[in-house]
Amino acid sequence: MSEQGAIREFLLAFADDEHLMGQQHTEWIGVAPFLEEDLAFSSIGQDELGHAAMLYELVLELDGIEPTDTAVDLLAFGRPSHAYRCCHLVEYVTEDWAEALVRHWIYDAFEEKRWHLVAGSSVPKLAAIAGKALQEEAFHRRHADALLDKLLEAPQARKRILDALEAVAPMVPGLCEAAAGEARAVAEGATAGATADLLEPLVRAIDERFGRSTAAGLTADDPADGQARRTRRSGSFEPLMARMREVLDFDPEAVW
Amino acid sequence: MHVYEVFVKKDGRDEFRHAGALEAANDELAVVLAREAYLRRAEGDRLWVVRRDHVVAAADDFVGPNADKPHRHHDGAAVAARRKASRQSQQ
Amino acid sequence: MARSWATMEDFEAFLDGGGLVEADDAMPDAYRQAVFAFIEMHANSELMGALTERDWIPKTPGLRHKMAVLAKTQDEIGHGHLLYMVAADLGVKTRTQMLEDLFAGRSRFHNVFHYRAVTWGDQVAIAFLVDAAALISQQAVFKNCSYGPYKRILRRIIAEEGFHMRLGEDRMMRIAEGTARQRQMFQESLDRWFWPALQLFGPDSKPDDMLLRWHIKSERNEALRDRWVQRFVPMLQGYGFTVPAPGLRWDDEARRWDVGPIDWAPLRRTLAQGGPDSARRIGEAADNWRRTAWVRTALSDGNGS
Repeated sequence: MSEQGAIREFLLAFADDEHLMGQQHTEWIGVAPFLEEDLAFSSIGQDELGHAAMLYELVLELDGIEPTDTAVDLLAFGRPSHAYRCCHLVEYVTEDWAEALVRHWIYDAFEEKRWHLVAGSSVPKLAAIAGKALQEEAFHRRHADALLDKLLEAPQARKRILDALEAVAPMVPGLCEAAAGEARAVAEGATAGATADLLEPLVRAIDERFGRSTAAGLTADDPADGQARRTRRSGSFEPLMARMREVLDFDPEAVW
Repeated sequence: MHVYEVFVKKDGRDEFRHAGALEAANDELAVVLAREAYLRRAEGDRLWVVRRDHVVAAADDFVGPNADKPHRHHDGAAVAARRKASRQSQQ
Repeated sequence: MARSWATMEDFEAFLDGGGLVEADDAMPDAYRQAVFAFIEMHANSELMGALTERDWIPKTPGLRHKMAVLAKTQDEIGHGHLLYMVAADLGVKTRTQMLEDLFAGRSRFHNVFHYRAVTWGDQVAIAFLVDAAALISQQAVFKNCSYGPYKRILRRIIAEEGFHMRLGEDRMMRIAEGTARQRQMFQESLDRWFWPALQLFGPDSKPDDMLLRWHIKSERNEALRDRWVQRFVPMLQGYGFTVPAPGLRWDDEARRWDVGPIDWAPLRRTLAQGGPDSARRIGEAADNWRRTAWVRTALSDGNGS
């Protein structure tokens, strides 16, 4: 894989994660547990979609394509499934707010580390995006922690959250799985380290946060190689993408 | 849940202003939730939240009498009249 | 209690003199009930509006477009939040009671949010026509509203509605400049939503409307409706769409548009029995409310409420 191709692949995985995570968070608009939370969670989802848009623009620039909204949308919504590089954790569709919250905490704990890896990237635009994203991450982390601090104190809520952790934990290794070509991206200085190296500190952080060992759950039923370097989609992906594409498919010539 | 009063201020502009209220379980959640409830478009860059039951309020009839202290609002009418008269006599 | 009035005449003289009532004033109970009911209905309408839009958000065509649409619907939730907080301070119902009444189908909200958005064109039509109608109503309330806490949050609500109007018109403009399929879709949406949006203002105000007398509203329904017609009929035509009013005519003498007779039967039916989509939407909202009750319970524990 060429240097360009490797960095592109690395960025696509990053962007697709952000896109799908933003999508999942924003599905709670109007139906979050209380109104203040509705506002906060929607903002976090909007932030993630914004990161996705900036990363897709960067991918387009590397491809030598002008990053117009239409070009971004073609990249974001117009690829065949196998060309997406998101992890299964962000594809996972849930109507359980405990799962949504636990995933939000885990994803942002991971994200903060991932953004730090590219804060000094040899790709100047990526470093700039990281600067903006890290400021926003501070809010995401504080939001998830403030809720968990309070909810984990209440026995019934604690049980729901730990059950949610059990459901979500098997998808954590996949989050830390790199797309092909990442080693090349590291060598070129696009990112400061391997995504896979984030797994161990992430699991430690999860154990500390939730007060239990999650290591056993990690290898349960969705081992990282099930994603095949993020080229394999989970069952949730197709229906979700079809829903997201409904209006775009209505008239492929249209500009909205 | 507690009701919190939310105050915001834009740097260099005005005093802290009361923006509204929200419900939160504790101070930390109140601060976190207030940001997206009241400052989504950077309507302020400083934020205070105060539990409503911690606000010390004075009764209106305690504050009220100070509305009737004309000696503290000297209107300078006599001086103004003299200045006006002197301007007119110079014309 | 901060202020009180010996008689209703005294209170009305205070209102007529431009007085602003505050939450802790000893206002006459009839006024309290009227202002509460008005704000509660406004709050419910904001929330039901957000739930109407919610169905289509995941399908928004475009990533940055979706962010803009999310920010708009988030504002509607935010308006609901501001309004429920202000309504709760009147001491008639708590915020939880208001939401539970809404989800139990016991509360009123604007007619338009009883309908379903069946295409993306509907989403744009709502953002444009319905938000405009709401904005015209709110501006009129803001201008001369006697209830201080409501007037103050309306300033913020109206500012945000301005963003929504611009977003709505921008999206309609793209459709107007777009493909034949897009224009056809939007024309069909216009056919569905023009009349419900126009009826958001309600039938002509009654001569003894207490909301007007107490300066909760400052203009008659028919005046607001006419303002909307004069503004939007030419605008829709300017974008090349047909206004679905068979009796529409330009009155050259009065220099104004006349939409012809208004059939109020659908509005009355909707308000009496619910509209075509009320049961589904309220049912879903009620299910969600129940499913997330554990969060609210856990957050309330140990705080005495």
